[in-house]
Amino acid sequence: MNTQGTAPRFSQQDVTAALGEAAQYLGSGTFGDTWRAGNQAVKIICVDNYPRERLEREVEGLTRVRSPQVVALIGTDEILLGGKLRPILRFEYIEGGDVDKKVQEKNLLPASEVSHFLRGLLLGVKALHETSTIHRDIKPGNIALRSGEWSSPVLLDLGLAKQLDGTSITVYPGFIGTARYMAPEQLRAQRARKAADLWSVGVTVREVLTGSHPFYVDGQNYSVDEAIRKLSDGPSAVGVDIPDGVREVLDRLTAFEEFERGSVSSNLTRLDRAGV
Amino acid sequence: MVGEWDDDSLEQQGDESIYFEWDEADQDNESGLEIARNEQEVIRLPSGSEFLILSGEGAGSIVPTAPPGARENAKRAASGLRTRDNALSGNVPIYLIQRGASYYKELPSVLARLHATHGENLALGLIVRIPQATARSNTALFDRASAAAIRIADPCTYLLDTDILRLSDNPIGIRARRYAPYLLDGGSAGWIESIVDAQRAAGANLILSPGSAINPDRPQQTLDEACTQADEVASLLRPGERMALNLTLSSRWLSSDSLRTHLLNQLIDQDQFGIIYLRVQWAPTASFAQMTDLPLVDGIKRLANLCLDEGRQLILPQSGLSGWFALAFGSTGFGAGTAGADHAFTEFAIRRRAPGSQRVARYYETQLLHTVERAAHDQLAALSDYQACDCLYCNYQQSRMIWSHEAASLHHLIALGELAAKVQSDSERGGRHGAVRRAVRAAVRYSRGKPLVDANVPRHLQVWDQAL
Repeated sequence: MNTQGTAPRFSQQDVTAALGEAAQYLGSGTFGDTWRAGNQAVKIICVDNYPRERLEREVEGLTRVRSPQVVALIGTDEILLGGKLRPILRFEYIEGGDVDKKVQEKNLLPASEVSHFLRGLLLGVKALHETSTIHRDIKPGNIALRSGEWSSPVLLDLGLAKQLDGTSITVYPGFIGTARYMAPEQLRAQRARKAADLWSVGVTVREVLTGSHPFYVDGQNYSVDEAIRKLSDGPSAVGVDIPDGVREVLDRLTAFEEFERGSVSSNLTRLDRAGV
Repeated sequence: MVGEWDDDSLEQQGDESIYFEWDEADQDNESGLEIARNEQEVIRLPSGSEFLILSGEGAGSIVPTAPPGARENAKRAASGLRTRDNALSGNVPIYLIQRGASYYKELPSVLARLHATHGENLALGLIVRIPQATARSNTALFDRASAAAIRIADPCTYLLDTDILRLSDNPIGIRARRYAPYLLDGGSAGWIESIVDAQRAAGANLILSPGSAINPDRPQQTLDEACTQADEVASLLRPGERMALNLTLSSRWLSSDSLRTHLLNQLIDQDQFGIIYLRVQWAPTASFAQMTDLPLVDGIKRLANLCLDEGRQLILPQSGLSGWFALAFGSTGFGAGTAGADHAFTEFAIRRRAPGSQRVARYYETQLLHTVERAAHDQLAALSDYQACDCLYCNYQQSRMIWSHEAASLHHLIALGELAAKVQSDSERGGRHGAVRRAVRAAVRYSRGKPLVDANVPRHLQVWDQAL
């Protein structure tokens, strides 16, 4: 979720009234805003006329996900806001903040925590994939840290951004904007599959470990073709002392071809075998 | 001059009445090996109270007591029969024998013998083709094949895909339509359920998805369709049943970088399918010639590597010795049968047989890893470094004046089973890859200076050695 500096679509007063309890703004995404209400994070779908049936169908699988590494979807509802009934999604609220915030505060992932953080993310992805759910938007802003611990990452948003609308992760005409964590196949406008989640995990871990994106130079714009070329060139070296087993898995996760990334299970097995 | 014909021409020559139209009654009257009809031999199973009949009446079956007069094989103790799930664990190579148009009655005995001698290092299975025989006939064969832990009734729906594969003009004959009525209404409502039911009726314990050919001109769409069909099969499984994703591909899928990437990406994504049953059609070569096209060999290698890395079982059911070779790279199993067509799924080619021609006598040479014509076999056998096979069928062959094609075919099946078992027993150094490499290099050394010409030259060895 992109929270920084984005204004909510509705006022705190209106949202509090609609939810029936004090609401605290957390952030905003492509389709809606997220507010804290009690011990829940409530995502309000702000796009008009989004079919409720589709929403229910999409969240059906997500409610089956039971993993400490995936934020729990509690349920769906509707509230009257801005003169319209709007769908809402209720999630557990994770205390501890998200990874994006940590990185912006220059709190990078310590090398000693990298294997735990990576394993936690992979376990979360595994739980999603086992219910045929693909997140498609894993990035620092969509990872919370339970109690602020790097060893306890929690995937947020559960892929709803993509499931709600196939264009939610935008590749702007000719340029990539928010696509820092997109796999090559996504940039090529092919459908994102399980391997796309693994790519995003790999890029995210490398970035929060080193403070630099493994493929792109910050502040520089790339055309889609340029971006794909950068990705095919391979990631920059992880200039941090980490276990070989972790380095090997990170290299697999950021392999250009989908099949070269392996499945989430085989990557977890590699971590197990490496004893990390 | 009397011509000769290839033993795989039975299924390759394009005569619809022969392609899948053999008459079971005729097969039942097939003379069979005298040795199979004579002495009963049994081996005691580890349970102590049961016997596996190796030859003679009831060969392949388990009986509670040794039949009167039966000779007990006391040379070794048989290992316990594997369960299906144990066989599919990948702990040992899987060797699947395919019921073909000839000599199928002896298959339970072949399986029993392989289990008796190599059961610790080999998981065994039997494949029947649904369009080829009645469900009753297939069930009866499965019932006798006690050593076959894996029982597959292949729906052969690829026979419908004449626009993708190179098959005969009319590959589905009258009896095939009767035995496999789902071939009449491909893709209709309830089609997949009828395919699953047909497999159950035949006695299968590993259910295959339909296995339609994947179209290289619409790669993603047809891969998706195959996986959707497999998902439907999964939804139809009953408690205790297991399934395999069944794919039929032309060799382009593995030799072309682009298509292979499509395939591997799909397989890595569809990780709900732990067992992949893959039939690859490649260009026709001489009978019993092996896979020598380097890009294809490389494609098989990459696919098998991926499956090994992902802990998934790759089974190449109609691949013969080339399937054995793929064990080096991480495939789990392969299949062969009594006919040349059971050893390779090659593109259809018309091979005309002159009137009065005789079948080519061929023999699989274990030391050479190659099947040669009888004359070449005789030449090799006369050399000092030749190691004669002492299997039951070779002993029988040597006792006769007239060449027995049946004994030669069954020897071939036994020899491939032994070779597969050796991959396991010799895997301490370098794993299965090391074992295959040593076997191939030994064959390369053996082949040097041998008086072999034309199709008797084992051209695949050099390619394989390079790939290893």
